[in-house]
Amino acid sequence: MAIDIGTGLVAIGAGLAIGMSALAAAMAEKEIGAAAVGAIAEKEELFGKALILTVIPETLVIFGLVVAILILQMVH
Amino acid sequence: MLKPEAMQSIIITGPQKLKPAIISELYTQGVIHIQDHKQTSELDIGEPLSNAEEVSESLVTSRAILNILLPYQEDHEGRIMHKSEILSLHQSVIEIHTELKTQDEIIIKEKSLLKEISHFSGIHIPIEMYYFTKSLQTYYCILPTKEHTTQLRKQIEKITPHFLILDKEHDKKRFLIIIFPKSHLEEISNIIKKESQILQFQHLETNKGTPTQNVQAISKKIAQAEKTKTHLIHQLEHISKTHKNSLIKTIAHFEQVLEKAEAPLLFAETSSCFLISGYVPAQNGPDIEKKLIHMTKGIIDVHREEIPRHEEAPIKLHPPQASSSFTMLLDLFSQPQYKEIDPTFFVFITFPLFFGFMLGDIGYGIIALILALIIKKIMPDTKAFMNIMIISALSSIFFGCLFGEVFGFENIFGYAIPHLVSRAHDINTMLFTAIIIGIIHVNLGLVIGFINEQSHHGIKKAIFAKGGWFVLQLGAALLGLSVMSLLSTPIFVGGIVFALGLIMITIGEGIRGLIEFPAIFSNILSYARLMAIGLSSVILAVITNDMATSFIHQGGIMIGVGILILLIGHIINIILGLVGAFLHSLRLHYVEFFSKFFEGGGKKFHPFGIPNTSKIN
Repeated sequence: MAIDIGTGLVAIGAGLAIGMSALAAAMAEKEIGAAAVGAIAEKEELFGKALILTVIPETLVIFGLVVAILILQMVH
Repeated sequence: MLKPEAMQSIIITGPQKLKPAIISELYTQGVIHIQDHKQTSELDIGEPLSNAEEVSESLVTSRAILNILLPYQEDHEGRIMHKSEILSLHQSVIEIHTELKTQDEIIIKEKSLLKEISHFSGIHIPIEMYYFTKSLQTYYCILPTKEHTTQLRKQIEKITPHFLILDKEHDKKRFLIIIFPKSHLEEISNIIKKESQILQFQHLETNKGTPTQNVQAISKKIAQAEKTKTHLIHQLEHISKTHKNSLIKTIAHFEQVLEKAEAPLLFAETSSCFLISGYVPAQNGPDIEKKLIHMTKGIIDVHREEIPRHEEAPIKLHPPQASSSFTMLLDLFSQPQYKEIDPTFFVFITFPLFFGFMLGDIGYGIIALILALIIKKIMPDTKAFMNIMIISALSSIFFGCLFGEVFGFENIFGYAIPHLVSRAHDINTMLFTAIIIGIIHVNLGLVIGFINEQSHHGIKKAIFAKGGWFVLQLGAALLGLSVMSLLSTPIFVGGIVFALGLIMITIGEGIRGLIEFPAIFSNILSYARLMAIGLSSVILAVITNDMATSFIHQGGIMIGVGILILLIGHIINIILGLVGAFLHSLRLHYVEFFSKFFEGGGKKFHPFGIPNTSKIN
């Protein structure tokens, strides 16, 4: 299906929005996750707190997703 | 119901002579959580009962025997063994085990020797001829090809014609035996070291005879050792068949006896009496007190006290019966404090809902249900977890009916499955619904937080600390709606309510609450993952189905390929769906829901003993 260049650019924008925020979240959670597993290996009770700390950067991805969806609305 | 089970503190004091009987009775009842007594200057901790050392020894010996018998099968029913039996069994098993190890070592040594001898096979010269003598030096080395051998020969020839090189093929390379007079030791050694890889034979020390003779002798030794090994293993198998079950029962029995024998380490004691302090659930308190007093004819003293909610006590969760499996999810995270509301019931309601919303497929739900039922039967240990999965699977089937999806198909044999909303097409509806669910769930958390706050710190603190969040959300909603002109109220009204909310939060929770105010919006938005994960699951299923049907329509061998794609795609999707839905549901509860009211850090109730065991001496 042929789409005009404007739509294509919007699509790239949406892709970048979610892709880069996911990358940022992954980089953050990598460090936190490694430290969390180390802490849990020494003290099992920390699992809950460690889990929460690890997933705190998820909000970055959610914001990226929302931005992507909002951008894609522009196409219609 | 909604708070951890009410506890009473209990103190039992009595004379030393009644101690074993009391310990036995407490163990059988299994309702008292004993508080470890910390040694003070007035009251020392107790010493283990007199049989503790003996039982410990039997236990250690039994475990050692069981360790050796681990690879072997058990057979006979088994009974509890006496200490003397255990010791004599240990003796014989250790003997056989050491002998077995020796034979293993012999086999290993002989096999390496065999490998070294194999270098010499084909050369029918007795090996002792090669050994170092006073005047001759022998080297064994490896060269890659025959040409290298010829080169080496030429190089040595330059120094002396008196040398011998025996060379044969070995392992795709050339094996050389070089013998030369010691007078030219240095020069020839240097050449050989430079040109070739020298071998050191570690096991070939005093062997005599031709290689063939040696190989025969070694093979005989190995066969003999293997035979002895088989015989020893048969002995161990026989012992295992007769005694392994007995050992297992004995170990279980002695572990219980040891736990009882070491119980005095938790007590406070003087030379004439002991004191046990601990916790008992309020509903069991009167019963155990009556039993103990009746058993000792009133000699011991039992003192019970209610523990008010604002103090600390061990946590025993007792949610409504249907939600009891979900306490496992609290165990994973953290026990609530004694004064808090136990969230298990709320998790029981919303966790399966979120799970079903994300998995939302009749076919996947049925498969998850079947898997959970099978695993529950095979491994009864996982009962709690499997119950959670069964409830979640049923929820998935329900949502599958709502979404009209079976394995990603929306039509079966041309008939469209009736549905309320199609996940792949009504994306905005799904996002909207997910956010609404988020708002409801987060506010539920705030309400529970409000109730907790009210019972701990009073209504005023509750209104400012938690009520502030409600006002904040109201303000944001008013602002948003007025900006989008959906509401006729002027914008500043929304702004004022929003600011009011901020002020209330600052009063209630301090500056930290104020700084973290965007957290509530990101928490609500976080629920968008309900839509996102569901959508990704649907899209994967649809893609798999489209690919498979395009292959199947081609006919012939492609039908097999299509079916393969179908299988692999859906298996991957099910695994992703199960794991993803579980983790994200759980995370939504732990992070977004619990952070609104849950403090945690309670100590779990761990009673002494096992209820309903027979009185063991």
